[in-house]
Amino acid sequence: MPLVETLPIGPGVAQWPVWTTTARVVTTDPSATELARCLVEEELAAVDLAASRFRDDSEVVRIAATGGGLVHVSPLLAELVAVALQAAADTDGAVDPTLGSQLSALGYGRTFDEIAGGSAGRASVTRHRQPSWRDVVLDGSVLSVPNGVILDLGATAKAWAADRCANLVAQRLGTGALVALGGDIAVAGTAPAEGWTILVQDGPAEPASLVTLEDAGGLATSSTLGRSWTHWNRRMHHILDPVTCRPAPEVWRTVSVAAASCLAANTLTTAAVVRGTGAPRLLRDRGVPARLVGSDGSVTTLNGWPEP
Amino acid sequence: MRASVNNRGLGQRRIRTVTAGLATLGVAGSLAVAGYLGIATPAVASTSTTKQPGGTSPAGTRHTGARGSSSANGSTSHRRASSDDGGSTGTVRRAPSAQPPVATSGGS
Repeated sequence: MPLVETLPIGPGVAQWPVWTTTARVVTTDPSATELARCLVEEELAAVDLAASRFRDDSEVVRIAATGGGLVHVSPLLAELVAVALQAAADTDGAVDPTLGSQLSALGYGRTFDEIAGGSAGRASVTRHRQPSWRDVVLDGSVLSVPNGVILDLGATAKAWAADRCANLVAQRLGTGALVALGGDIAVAGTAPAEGWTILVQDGPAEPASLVTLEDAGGLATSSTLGRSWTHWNRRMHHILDPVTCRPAPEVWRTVSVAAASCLAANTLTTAAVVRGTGAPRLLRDRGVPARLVGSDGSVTTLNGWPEP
Repeated sequence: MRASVNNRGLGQRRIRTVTAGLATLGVAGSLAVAGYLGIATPAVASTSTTKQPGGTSPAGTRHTGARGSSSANGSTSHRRASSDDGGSTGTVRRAPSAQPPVATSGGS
């Protein structure tokens, strides 16, 4: 059970399951909470219809069926793809949105609830040269995705959605807002006097850090613990190394970053897991407060993340 | 201990960067996306200088993985993360142990 589900739901808080995780919305004005939830649900539904790999009617699935041609896409999907390509560029390809087919081949071709409830399948991963984010072309609303590629926008779309929702709630309802989608948290508007207090922890037995965010921005955690499954008797997790098309080596089991947006934070946490031993240097260079939990449970903090 | 960090970096935006290709953000982007979604969007102030994550690429903006994105003015460089991006800063500090969390960040 995600830790968020253990937190109380009082005035100013709405919480519900979405995308096999938990959405939690907190508003400083409790009278705005229900409307905030409606706004967030609308936004998430739109993102799901555009970017979900797990529904046949989504845009990314329909695009994959076109076999690499030019396709007009919705403004929302164009934005999500643009964001994903930017994240890929910003991380030198560590966060690559073209790995959907590889994830499916490794058994993550269905929602995680379905995987957890049964076999992950027996498809194997092809090892010939795979297209990468560099082969994706977005020209306004016209998108070209290489034949055989299913976009997996999960690394960036959820974080983007958290940012988008928090800002939308803050702007339209005039309240301080926190939107948490699993490990991805965005805050906007005027924060509570004591700041937004967030428990950073990847499970009840994992090391914990209690921090506050004081102004607009985001905090994200990527983990190799949560979304894992067994494929041909080998443990898999959902963060693939684009070079090997296999789950990244588990140098870190949890990486958390606070940044000016949830998207920025999630991009770096995902890249850090992929980079493995190179993660501290990456995060140090970017100057973001970061916390890394090693595979042995040791905790490393960088750039002003509060010491344990 | 207070550990405030000016972590201007990846993804931070200011309204003044609206011409930077990908970074067409803020009010215009919100309105465009809201329009696409069929959401009635009330007028909002357009003078904010805080970062606005998310937004909508302008029509005609071209993004290619191989060659980077081309902004409306024809420049061809991808926007890279930079500590000079500007925008508001994220600050994280240790919370008082007695302060109950309002959310958790675990793996997702």
